[in-house]
Amino acid sequence: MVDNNYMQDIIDPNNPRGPKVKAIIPHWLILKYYKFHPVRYENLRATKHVLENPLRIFTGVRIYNEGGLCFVGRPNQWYIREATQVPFPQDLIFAVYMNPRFHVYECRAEHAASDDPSSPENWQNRYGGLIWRNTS
Amino acid sequence: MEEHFLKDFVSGPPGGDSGPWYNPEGDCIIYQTVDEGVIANRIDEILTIYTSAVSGKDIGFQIKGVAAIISRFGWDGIHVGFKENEKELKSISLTFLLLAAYENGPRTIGRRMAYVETIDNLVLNSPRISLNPNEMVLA
Repeated sequence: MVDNNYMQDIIDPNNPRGPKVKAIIPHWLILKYYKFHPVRYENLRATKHVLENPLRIFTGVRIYNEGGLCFVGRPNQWYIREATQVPFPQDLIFAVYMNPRFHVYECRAEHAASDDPSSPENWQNRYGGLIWRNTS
Repeated sequence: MEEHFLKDFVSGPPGGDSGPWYNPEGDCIIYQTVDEGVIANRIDEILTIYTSAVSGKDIGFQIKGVAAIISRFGWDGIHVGFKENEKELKSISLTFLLLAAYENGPRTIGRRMAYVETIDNLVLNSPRISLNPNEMVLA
């Protein structure tokens, strides 16, 4: 067994046109999901997809914790039960939350905003700011 | 099923019930009663409820900013016991934590309902969590 964190190249939120930086899926979180939340473990595939193909990047995700990032995207598929993979619904987005050290700590589906289907609902009020959007 | 890209990072069989757990990377407590895909419904800056993508029922929650809540109320005001197991752990009442979080925001009917339903439906089955003060960054 590889006893390391998983590293994923991502757009540098502070310099989107510059070299990529590493996001980290902590090994302990991988094991936690694998052991106790197998559906979350399977949906780390969706997490990887979103980190590689973000549609929006938000900063300032917490009221009590400085910084933090939310990468938002839409995977093609996701798991709703351990062995049940289904198309990802159009009215949802998949959000991946990271702390300021780029450590992933939460990944989940959320309702999409009515004014921007690539953002979570109420995105205008809940984040510090939108720092990057995919224009392609 | 396509091979999982993290298969080399895990071993052994999955299984078991974790109960509520503290996530130090996100300074949050996570509790999920059913292993299904979840849709997060953010109630406020502190509380997010997990709704099952299968049944539409509420099956868990996330409490954010745990260290800030504890800093505000102090360990003496929020812990309900100790547990010694090599390192000191403090046993926290999730109901107390949610009540403390509720006090911090606007007292709207919608918020109140969400907190009450979370306590009634989810917390009462697993009312406590053990935290290690040494792994928390308290203000």
